[in-house]
Amino acid sequence: MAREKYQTLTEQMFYILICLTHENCGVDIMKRVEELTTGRVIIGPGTLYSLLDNFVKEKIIIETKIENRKKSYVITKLGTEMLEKEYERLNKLKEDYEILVKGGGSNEGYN
Amino acid sequence: MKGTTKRIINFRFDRYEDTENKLKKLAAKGLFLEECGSLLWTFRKGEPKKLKYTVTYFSEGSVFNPDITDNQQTYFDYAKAAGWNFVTQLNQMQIFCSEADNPIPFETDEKEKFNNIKRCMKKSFIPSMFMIILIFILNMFLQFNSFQRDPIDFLSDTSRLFSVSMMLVGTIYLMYSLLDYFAWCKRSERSIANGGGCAESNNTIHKIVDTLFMIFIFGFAGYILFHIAFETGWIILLFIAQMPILTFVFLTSIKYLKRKKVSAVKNKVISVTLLTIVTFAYIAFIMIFVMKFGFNTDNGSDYRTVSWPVNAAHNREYKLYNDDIPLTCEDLYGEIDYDYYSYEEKKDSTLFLSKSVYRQDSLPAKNSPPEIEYEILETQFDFIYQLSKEHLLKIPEWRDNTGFESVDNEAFGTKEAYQRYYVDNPTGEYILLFDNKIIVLNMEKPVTAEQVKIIKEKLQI
Repeated sequence: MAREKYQTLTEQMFYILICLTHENCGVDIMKRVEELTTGRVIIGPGTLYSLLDNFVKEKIIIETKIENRKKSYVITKLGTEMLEKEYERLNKLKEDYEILVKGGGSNEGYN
Repeated sequence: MKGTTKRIINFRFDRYEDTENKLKKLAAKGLFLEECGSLLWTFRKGEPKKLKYTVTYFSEGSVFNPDITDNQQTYFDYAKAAGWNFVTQLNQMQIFCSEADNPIPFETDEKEKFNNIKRCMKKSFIPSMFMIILIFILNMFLQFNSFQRDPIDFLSDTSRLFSVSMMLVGTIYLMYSLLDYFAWCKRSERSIANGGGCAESNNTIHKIVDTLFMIFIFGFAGYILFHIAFETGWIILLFIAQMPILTFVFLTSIKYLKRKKVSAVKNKVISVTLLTIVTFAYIAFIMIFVMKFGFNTDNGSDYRTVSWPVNAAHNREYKLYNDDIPLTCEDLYGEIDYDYYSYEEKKDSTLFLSKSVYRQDSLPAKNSPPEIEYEILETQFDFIYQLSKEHLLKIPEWRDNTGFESVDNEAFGTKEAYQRYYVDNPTGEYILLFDNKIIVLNMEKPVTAEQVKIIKEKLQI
């Protein structure tokens, strides 16, 4: 279920997960993502809550501690694998782009 | 400019955008949302302000929660960090407002937003809709049963026709809402798959359906009030008041327990139990009331009460009416020297048929004088005429020694006429069928030619 649902991650999911490679709390994730992307990717509070909730249910992240009502999370092994796969996918996209567009290579075999 | 004011807000889950815009406009007029109810929303008056509102859903939200839950608090904290302040909640619906010109949108992923709405609806909206529809259908099924048992009685009873049509319209409306929700889901799914957002609700159709529904409800309520004022007893008010009273008890119980900080589960169990008990108590109260005072509270006819011995040890109270009835025993049998006759008239009229029942009763005794009872039905539609005829001529299967036999039409000038026989002996029970009228005549003995003449004259046949 988890794999099928998250076969490709949305930008928002991707950024949440990279923020959670280190322990982080929800509010900080929101701010970090905005800073990291200089405002290009924004995660609304409702979406953040649903995504974190779903990630916990699907065991992609786990809750680590609650301090002053602030919940912190960190990515799990499963989550890391997913992130890894997404990274590979993005790399493949980048490579293909470079071969076809930037490298000025021919379009042979791609019709 | 202090104080609060209440407004009717017709809210539906898929019309959150309408609500958001409405709240924004009201804030610009100096009315700030404070609390929302199922219909009436409370606003605080103040200086006009530019505010933006957002309406979202939180699946853990419930009217039974005594306090904001921990997860909800986390949710609020995220909102706060994005510049959204919590305003109020109703069930799963959560309303936030922001003073920023361009606040971070509350939801930035339409698919997540849609899944969240679906999750919330599955938890409360859909089950409660199904429950109400089920209760209505069950109720209508019972009503249908009583219609089958006695269609004449049923079709001449305004209050029963009223409750059935109310439930029927309610069921149709609820089913429409439910189907509309599923259609909205389908549209949203398609739209999101194509990279769009949740589907917009079709306002024009909603408005038309809502208006029709409101017209029906208010029109009917008006008709019933008119009916109460002029025709039936006011007991029907007890039936109409049932829903508001029960809702009030239920909501008060939830509110009270919430204030006492009782847990959501306990609150739910106690409130639902209380609602069940009160519902039964209310029905029992109506039944006792009806048994004691009668359904039509006597139509304003005058009567005297006599205490009459039913056996050596007991007396019973009898009501002796003095209504004007068109055909009396005196007309048929000549002067009768008897002081305890009750002349009673009962008229019921609906869209389908009018039923007038007349009876002249004597009190139970060995040599009591003759009695008579007759019923005049005037039907508005042919199928009701046929239905009534069929019902009147039907004799239960277990009664094998009695039946109706055709009578010569010339006697009463009928289209069809039947007389009841009991073990080959004719009785005084007749069913006379005319063009738009049916008369059921119930006398102690078969009529004589002379009596037929009197009956025809008095009943203007």
